[in-house]
Amino acid sequence: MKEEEIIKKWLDNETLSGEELQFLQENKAFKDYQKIAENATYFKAPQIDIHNGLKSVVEKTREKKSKKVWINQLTRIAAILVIAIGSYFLFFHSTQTQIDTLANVTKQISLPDDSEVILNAGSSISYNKDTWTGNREVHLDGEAFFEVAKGKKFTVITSLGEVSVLGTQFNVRQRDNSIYVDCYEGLVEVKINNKRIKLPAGNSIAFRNEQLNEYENTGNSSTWLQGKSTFKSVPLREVFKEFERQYDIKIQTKNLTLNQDKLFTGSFTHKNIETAIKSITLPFGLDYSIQEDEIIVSARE
Amino acid sequence: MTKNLQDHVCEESVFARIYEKHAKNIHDFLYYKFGELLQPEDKMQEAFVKLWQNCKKVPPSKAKSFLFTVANNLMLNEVKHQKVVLKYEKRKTQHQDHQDPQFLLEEQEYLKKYQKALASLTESQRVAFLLNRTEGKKHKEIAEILNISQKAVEKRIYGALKKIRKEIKGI
Repeated sequence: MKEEEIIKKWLDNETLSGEELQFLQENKAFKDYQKIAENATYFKAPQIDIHNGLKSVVEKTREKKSKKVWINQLTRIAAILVIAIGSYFLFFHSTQTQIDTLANVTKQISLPDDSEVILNAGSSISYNKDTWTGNREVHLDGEAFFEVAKGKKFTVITSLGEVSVLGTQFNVRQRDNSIYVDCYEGLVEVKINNKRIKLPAGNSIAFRNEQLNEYENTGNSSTWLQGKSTFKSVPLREVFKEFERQYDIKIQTKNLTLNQDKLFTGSFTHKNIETAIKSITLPFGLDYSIQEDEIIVSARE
Repeated sequence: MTKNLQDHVCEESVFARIYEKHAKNIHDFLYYKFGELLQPEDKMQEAFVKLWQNCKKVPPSKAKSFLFTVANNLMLNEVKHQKVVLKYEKRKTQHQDHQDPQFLLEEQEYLKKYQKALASLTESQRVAFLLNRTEGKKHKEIAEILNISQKAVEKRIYGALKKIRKEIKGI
């Protein structure tokens, strides 16, 4: 083992005693070792530039650091936004689903229990998705046809009253100060001013200016679903409003007063504006002229 | 607290000191271990970038081992067990005396064999041996760089020497 010790010492560039040197000289492998040790320098790693290397690392880190800070800030802002919007929806909004229709458009909506709602033009409904199973309530502003799946009480709430059913088809039309409910199937309960009215299939109810009228309806579903609006003893002013809603056009009246006793019974189509306005004005003996974005209705001279 | 702050790797002067102290050793370590094909210098630089990014988490005392580990891992990610090839330098001009071609040829042959022998060493043998023989590092320094005992360093170098001789001689 002496040999190994001395070679190791020699490899570590320690000074060797004469005795040790001589021992190595006599070793026949030592010549090879010497050659190997000498020639190892040919395999030296290339020099690196410490100064420029440091500079480039610092530059790189600066880039990454500023980028990181940037992204950090961005994620913070994003997180706050997400939380804010999230809590807004959670506490104020998430529960309500609202669906609107513009003038001239109808929309078919499936409620969570597969009840169908067809929303007429210029109307909106909202309902609570989360509590739907225990509490079938729809807030309605405008007109909609309901086909209610069987189940718990289904209530349509409007600003003028409530309509509740157990599973049926019915139509609710609520306007500024009037509400119309048509029942086509089953039984509907209407609650207006704390008065409850049961409405069997084939019956309709109109509540207008604090007056309640019951009448029989025709057909098996609302006519607007087939593309026309039907009225029974409805003031002309209201009919015009409906017309404006369906065609997205203004109706101007000239030397004509629209008082409450001008009542209209009949219908107008949603498909042809000329036919539609004719079917309203003709019974009243009125003239009309269709302009680009309005219709002028005037008394006949 | 102030002392801690001064000692922080995030401090640019501290970082520079660490770089100057370890950059070459890390580079040489990677070079001798993995050869030149895998860009040891790039990996070394990358390791320092990583150190800077993690400067808050790494105390200066741990910086060295952090750098070596990261650099080594960066290499390992790329190594596909290819043979390590260390370039030998072209003969320098110190041999300007006119040598006969036979001698030159023999020397070329010898270096080629040497190269193969180096490739046949284990990684740890090669690193220790070349740090010692080409960088002129003492066993004690190598032990510090590699975080192993001096005895282990001696053993590796001696083992490498014997193995190279065997390979060259074709025994």
